[in-house]
Amino acid sequence: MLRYLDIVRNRVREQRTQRGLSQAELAGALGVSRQTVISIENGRYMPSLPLAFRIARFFDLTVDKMFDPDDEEAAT
Amino acid sequence: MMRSIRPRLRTPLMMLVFGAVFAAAAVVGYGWGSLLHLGPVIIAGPVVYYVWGGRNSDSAAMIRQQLDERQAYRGLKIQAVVGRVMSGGASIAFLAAWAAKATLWPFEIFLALFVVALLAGWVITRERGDGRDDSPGSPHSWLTSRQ
Repeated sequence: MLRYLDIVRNRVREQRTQRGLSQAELAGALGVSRQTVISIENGRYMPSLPLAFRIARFFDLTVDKMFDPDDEEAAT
Repeated sequence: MMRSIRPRLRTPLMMLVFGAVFAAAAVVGYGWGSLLHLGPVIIAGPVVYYVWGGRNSDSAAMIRQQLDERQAYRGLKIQAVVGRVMSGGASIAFLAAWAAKATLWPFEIFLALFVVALLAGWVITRERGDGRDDSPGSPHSWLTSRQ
């Protein structure tokens, strides 16, 4: 079975630190727990599509820029 | 009435109420002395539960019933593990009781409950129209051609 958690990378931590936000502040803005932000950043939890959109909109990015299945953007 | 009570308080209060009922029954049956053993447990249980609910953790969120999507998903996975262990345990216990020629009906009830719960879960979570092919030329193509 394809483990999508292994191949989909995200830029949540990168974007959060660029904006100088704590995990708790981001969690509050997204309406989730701090533990969930940590899990997403570490790639242990793949957010639902609505939450992925909320994250992308919060950072003024598109979902495919925020969550990269090929990891092309993150590699560059 | 329960809605007016803070979510974090609901379960501890329920524990206290059931504990008080249990304690009253114990006093009637075994006298006041039984409270020496039951009292600390009945009081400490809800207090620990309430204090734990104030922590910043997944388990505390479950106690407060304020779950985000990951925590709700985790709760479902926990329930799935519990269900598998319970049904597996009931099956093993049934076989052990059958081998020992012991009374079987309590285990049969558990196994019957497993089947009923499986069917109920299947019906409750079903999605209407699930699995129908609505591509052009298929029997259900009208579903998309009308749009």
